[in-house]
Amino acid sequence: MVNEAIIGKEFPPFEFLVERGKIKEFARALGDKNPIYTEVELAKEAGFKSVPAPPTFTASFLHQVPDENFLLNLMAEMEIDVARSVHGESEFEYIKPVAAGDVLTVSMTVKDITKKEGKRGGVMNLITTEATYTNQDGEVVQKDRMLFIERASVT
Amino acid sequence: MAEEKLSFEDASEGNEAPELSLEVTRTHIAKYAGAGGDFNPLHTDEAFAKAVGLPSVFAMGLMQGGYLARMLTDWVGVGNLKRYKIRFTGQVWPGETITCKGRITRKYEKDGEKLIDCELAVVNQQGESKIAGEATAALPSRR
Repeated sequence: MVNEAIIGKEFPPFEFLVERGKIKEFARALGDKNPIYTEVELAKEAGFKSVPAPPTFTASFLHQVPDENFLLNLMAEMEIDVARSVHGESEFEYIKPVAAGDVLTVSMTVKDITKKEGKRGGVMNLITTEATYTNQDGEVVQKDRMLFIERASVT
Repeated sequence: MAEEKLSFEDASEGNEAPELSLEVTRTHIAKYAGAGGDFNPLHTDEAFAKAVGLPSVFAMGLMQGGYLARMLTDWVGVGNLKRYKIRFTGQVWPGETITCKGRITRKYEKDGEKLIDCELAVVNQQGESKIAGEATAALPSRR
């Protein structure tokens, strides 16, 4: 069961480099043929400094940087029971463009934990985390919020 | 030259986005795992998924979330998106055909920006909900 004392906790920040090849691979995996993700000149004409990150690109990096088990470790640290938990929602707030070549510093916090009656009795925990992405110029460029639902343990 | 997408003048409340449909296969899931880095065996290891009682592997929520975002950026442009929120309402299984949809719910100006709010959805061939979402975009004027 999630430890409520963890509300407000900030996890150690980490850096990730937004790579052009990764953007192309990510767009291809989703069958996205928009040339803005592969053609730098076209991206520049559209006002980006290089090919832009697709809208959900940053979220995938929680699986790769700083560690492939980052999300699982994070959940373990919050004492969330992974077997009873699902990723319920994701919300992305786009503040400034993110493009290939950017070096983002990611800081994650536990924003909120609320309780709700489960449909089959017991209490569910709703855990919201927020990742803030700051670029190499010190500008906050994006915020991603994720909601994890830890279902009631029905005994 | 900005992306040639929807202009504010051409947007009206109730307008629907061109839909995106595809039949989801295990190959789509494997490609997304490789690109996105999510190697949870529930998504990529059929034997593991069956051993824990599931009928098969299923797609990552952010995979169909990625297809929905593709539909959205094809419509409003990558650089115009301000907010994108998705709630995962059902798992997507290989063999299902998903359709990504969007509709303008509000058109307004705020702090000098020309904005639209959209309601978004991913459904399967039976109309069952997989994602319920919403987005806000700042649109350019018609050139």
